[in-house]
Amino acid sequence: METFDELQTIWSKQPNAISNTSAADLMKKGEDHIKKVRAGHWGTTAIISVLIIVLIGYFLGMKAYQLNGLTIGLTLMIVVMIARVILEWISATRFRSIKPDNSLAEFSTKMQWYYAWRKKIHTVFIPIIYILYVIGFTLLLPTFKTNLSHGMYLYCLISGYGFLTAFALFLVWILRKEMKLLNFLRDLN
Amino acid sequence: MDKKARFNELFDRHYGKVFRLCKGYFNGNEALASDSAQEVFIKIWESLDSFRGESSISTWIYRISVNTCLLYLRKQSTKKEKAMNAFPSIAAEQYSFVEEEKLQKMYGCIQKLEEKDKMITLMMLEGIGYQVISEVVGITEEALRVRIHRIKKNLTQCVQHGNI
Repeated sequence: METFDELQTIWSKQPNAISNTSAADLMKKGEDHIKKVRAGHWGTTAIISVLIIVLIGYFLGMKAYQLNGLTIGLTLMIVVMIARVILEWISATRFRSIKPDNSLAEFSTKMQWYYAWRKKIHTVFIPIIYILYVIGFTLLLPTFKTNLSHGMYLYCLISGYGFLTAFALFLVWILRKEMKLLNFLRDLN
Repeated sequence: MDKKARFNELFDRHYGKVFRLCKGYFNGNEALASDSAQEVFIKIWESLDSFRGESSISTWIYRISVNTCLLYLRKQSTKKEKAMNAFPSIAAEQYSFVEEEKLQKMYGCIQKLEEKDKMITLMMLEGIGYQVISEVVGITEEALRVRIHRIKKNLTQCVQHGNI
């Protein structure tokens, strides 16, 4: 009869790991990662600021106060883009608040909470944002048709809807991946 | 001691243990174990300033290791997930044929356990004390003892007969 102690002896006879890295390398990677996170934070803030400035600039500079397809379409697209960026920013902040040095039980509960929030984003907020964005783009088309050549108009039409279709598929892929993770975390507890 | 010197010391003392824990979790796959162990130490570097000594440094490192390994594959590509299924041969001089076969069986049996039990088993095999394991997993020592009793029985049975 095999005992656990015997198994432990066999296990502990395994050769020691030969590290293919050094402490200095990992410190550098750690510092690079911190810089990347900070840059991402500032990048997000910059994107939101630029979009808001563009939106305000458009209304003031072009004196586009009247409600027409172009104005409503552009406003919708920019506002939902800002909403999307803000949602991602909130998600990133929430994710960073989960510390990896919690106990496994606490960590998995917090991660479960985080992915449940992501599920809400993917199933409630993103579809609304997506639909509004498609409506916004569609409202621009009559202006494109009037002001652009036929070839250019077709290019905008095909590339615009093509991008939106590809983006929808990408969102479904992300949703599936994250839901798989959420189910894994639920099983864990 | 400054942060760099402290990190160097932690790396020298704990890298091997973290690597073995990850290797066990990833069915003996050394490439995955190496990548995830590196990620663990990157997190250690990033969080070192926030370590307040509320637990021992070993408990703190094992917590980061367990949490990182657990989610490592699930955030990666499916290509890496597939790589985990292939068990590499262990060409080590210190093993007889029978022992090598048993070690391979152990890796296979560990994969059959529930995720939490998998981590507890790997820490037990590394000889980590019950108090540290209970702090890492986040369950009471009493509950852990009950769980370990069941795991030991299942694991030995699995190595002998191939099923849990």
